[in-house]
Amino acid sequence: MEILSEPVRKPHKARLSKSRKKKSWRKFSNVADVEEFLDEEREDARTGGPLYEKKDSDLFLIDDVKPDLPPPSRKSSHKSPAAVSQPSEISLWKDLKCFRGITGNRVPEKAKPHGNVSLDVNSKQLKRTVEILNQRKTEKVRRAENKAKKAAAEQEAVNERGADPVFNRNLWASNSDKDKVDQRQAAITKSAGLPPTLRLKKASGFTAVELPHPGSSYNPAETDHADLIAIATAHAAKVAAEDAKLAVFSAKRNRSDKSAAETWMEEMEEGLPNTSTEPTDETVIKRESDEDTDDDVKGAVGKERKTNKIRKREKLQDDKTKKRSELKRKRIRDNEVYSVKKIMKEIKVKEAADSKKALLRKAKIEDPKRVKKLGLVKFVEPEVDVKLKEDIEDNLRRLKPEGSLFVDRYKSLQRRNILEPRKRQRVKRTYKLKKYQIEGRKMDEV
Amino acid sequence: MGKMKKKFASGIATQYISRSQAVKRLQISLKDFRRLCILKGVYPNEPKNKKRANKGSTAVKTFYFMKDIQFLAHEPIIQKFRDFKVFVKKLKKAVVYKNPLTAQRLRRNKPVYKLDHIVKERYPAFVDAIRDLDDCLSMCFLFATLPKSRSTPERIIRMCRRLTVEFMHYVIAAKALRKVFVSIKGIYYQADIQGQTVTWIVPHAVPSYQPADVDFKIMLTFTDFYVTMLGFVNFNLYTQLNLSYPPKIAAEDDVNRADDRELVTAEENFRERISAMNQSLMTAVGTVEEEPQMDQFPAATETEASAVEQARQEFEKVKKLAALFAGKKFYLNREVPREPLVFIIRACGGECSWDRNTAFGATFDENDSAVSYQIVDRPIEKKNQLINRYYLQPQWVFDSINAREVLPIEPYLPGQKLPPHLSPFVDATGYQPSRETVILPPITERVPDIGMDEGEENVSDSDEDDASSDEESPVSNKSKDGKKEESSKPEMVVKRGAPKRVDQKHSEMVQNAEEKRMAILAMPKKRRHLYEQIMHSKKQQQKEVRKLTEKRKVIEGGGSGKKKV
Repeated sequence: MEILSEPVRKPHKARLSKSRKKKSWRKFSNVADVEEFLDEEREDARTGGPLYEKKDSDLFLIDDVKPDLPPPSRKSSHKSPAAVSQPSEISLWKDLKCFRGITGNRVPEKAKPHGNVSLDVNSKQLKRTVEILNQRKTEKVRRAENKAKKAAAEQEAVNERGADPVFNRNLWASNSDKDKVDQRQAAITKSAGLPPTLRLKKASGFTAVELPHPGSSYNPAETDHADLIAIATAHAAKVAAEDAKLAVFSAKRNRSDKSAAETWMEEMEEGLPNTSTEPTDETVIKRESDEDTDDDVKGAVGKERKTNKIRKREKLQDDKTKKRSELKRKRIRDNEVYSVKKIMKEIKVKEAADSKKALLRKAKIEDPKRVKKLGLVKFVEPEVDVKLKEDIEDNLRRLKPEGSLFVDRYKSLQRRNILEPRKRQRVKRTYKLKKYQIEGRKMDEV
Repeated sequence: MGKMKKKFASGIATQYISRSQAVKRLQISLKDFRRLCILKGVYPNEPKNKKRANKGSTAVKTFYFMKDIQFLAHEPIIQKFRDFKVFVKKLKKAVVYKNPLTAQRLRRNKPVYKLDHIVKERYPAFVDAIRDLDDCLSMCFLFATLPKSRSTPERIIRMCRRLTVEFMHYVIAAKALRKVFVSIKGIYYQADIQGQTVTWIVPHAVPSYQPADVDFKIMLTFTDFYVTMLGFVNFNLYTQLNLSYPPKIAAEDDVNRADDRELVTAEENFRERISAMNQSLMTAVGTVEEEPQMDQFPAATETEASAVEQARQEFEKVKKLAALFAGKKFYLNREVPREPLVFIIRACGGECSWDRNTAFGATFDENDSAVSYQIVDRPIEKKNQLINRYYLQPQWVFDSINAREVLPIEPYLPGQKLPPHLSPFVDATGYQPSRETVILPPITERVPDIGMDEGEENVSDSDEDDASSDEESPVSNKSKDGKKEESSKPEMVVKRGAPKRVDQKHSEMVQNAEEKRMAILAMPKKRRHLYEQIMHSKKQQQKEVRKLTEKRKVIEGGGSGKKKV
């Protein structure tokens, strides 16, 4: 604090003002040193005097009271003491440099060692560096590390026990991350609840492994075996009937489907004496139809135009018949009034039949044992595996297994509407492979 | 008037999606789509109105629920499928460009997918998984028999074999087997696993082949899932039974070591001995096994009471079945199917062994004196038979388990015409049909049965007949004597007094009956009513059985009568 802006030190003689009062005195006399002294005095009064005048005991305190810190644990060994003693909300900021500055518990940060860092494990410098680095680790990293350590320890324990690498935990009890859906995937959208097919499981009325017919025993009772044979025969008969039906249909289709090239020879041989003595039914029909068309053509040529008179008459006739039929219809309708009872009865019968049909249809659709049509191909029941009576032996050693379990399983999946039946697709070439012959390797030359 | 509604913007048309649309939506190939659907348990569905679901077109298509497909879209495995596609592309390129190192590196980092979370998702509780074990077991047992080929990789086959063996070990340890049926297709087993009835079929031990009309890619996908499922199920079953998983043999004694051959590694030896199923497994922690006790349920109504009674009977039967062959030693000849027999005999408490040279895991030799039964399936000479054991055909074991008692051995001796092997899956409550009523009482004393030919058996039969006639004759004699005595008696005679003989047994019985009557009288009204109901249903059952047996007697008598005529 300086009152005077600048001491005036002019060589010339001090000019005295006319009025010699206090104000003018101050103005013209140099009091800087006095002021300086007074300032010092005030400063001392404020700070408690200069340090060199004081005793050591006044200045320093010997810290002989032990602090109440928790015993250093292995886990938190790298934590700074400040962090330990602080409450939790402060511990959030404690790693910030600015905060450490405020609290006064400053950990002196040494300058980074440049160049020649000692690589000796015991060197103090290295240790301190590691310590500092540890301290810099955030809580998150530390937590992750601990977790990894724990998992590794668990894995080690598992390995020690000689556990299986995959099947080593109770899948249904564990809540470990391993059994959760990959979070990177699931985080995008909320995982949906179970979909209809999983929710409405067990829609089929068939069991996974169908219980065997007692007749399929390797050494069956006679009645059981006869029963199974009857079932197998019925199935075979059904298949045969279906095949016969198909054969008729396909024969019909094939006849109409013959290409020109196939019928060419037949057509060329037509009418030749030595190929066929009796004309087949087909050719007879053809010829007849040919004649018919000929007649028509002739008739068409010979027909005359109708005159207007004839047309008029015909029209009149038509109108008459129309009117008559209309009248008849009306009469019948009018008379229906008297047969209301009968009609009502008919309607009732029809309705009953319809509702019965609807019920049947509904039952058929809701039947748990219905094999649904899931695609282009229809499900075909497999053959019933059975051994004929003469093949049965009551000796287990000589038993020859019947059928294939693979087919059984496959068909079972299809029957339960889990798989859709389909035709096997073969690989088809879209274009033919070109063949090359390399010049030097031509077969002719060899 | 509101906005005009668009066609096929709601209802069935939006509930379903065709397969090709689904494939497009998920951006995977059809092959991968099929695989994904099988793994996730999503199946095609038939819409109620196909035309509407197909947005007016009548083209035949395969439909899925829209929600199913939306659900599939969340599956992280799809990403793995895509990764695999990329991997294949890269590998192909590396191979074509002749970069072996790159190819090697790629192969090392081949993307693999895990199905653990899908198992948990499809079966939220452990019981659900057990309930659905039928399919899983049948498929795994089936694949375990296959040879390695292009469509059936070794890994799956090995896993199937390992896991099925582990499962059988569990059934043995838990004594869970209930029924066996040898059919012409394979062997059906039924076990009771934690209260759930599980049925599966195992093929006969003949070389299996791949039928042409079965898509093996699809079967393999199913098996891939089932392997994971069975592994975790096995783990849980083992831990719940306090067995260590993966299984370890309990007693590693010298007998086991005798199998250590120079040609096999220790690991192979161990695996073989595990799959021999002939030794019990090591428990994880030593515990005292306590015998299960049936809980007491007070029944309120008659139907409940009868149900409780039935359950009690079933419990007793199961207990009996578990110890059916307890303490018995079986020696299996070479020609009998070893695995199924070992499995079922050990599941009923018996012990097994076989020729040391045929397979691993034999525990005792053929001439061990403690062997009670030898299972044979080809004629053997009398001089080669040992005197202190029964020689039996394998069907005896199967039938005994189904009958839940040790059946008489006569019909099953070698060379005999066997009785039919009946299915245990036919419901037979109350009245037991045909054979079981004719069962001979089990033999308590050992009869030297060697060299029992048909002729000799006939002899014994006739002996029995003689005996029975002998038994009859004294009775008739007595009655005759009695009559004679009566006729020669004088009218009044003073007889010498004899001390009154007190039949201790009879009096005790009378006393017991009296006590029981008193107890019934002293019962509170509610209990007595219940008791009467129980007794009534019991009587009714007995009546039914009696009626049917009478009927049978009549029929059989009639039949025999006809024959005689």
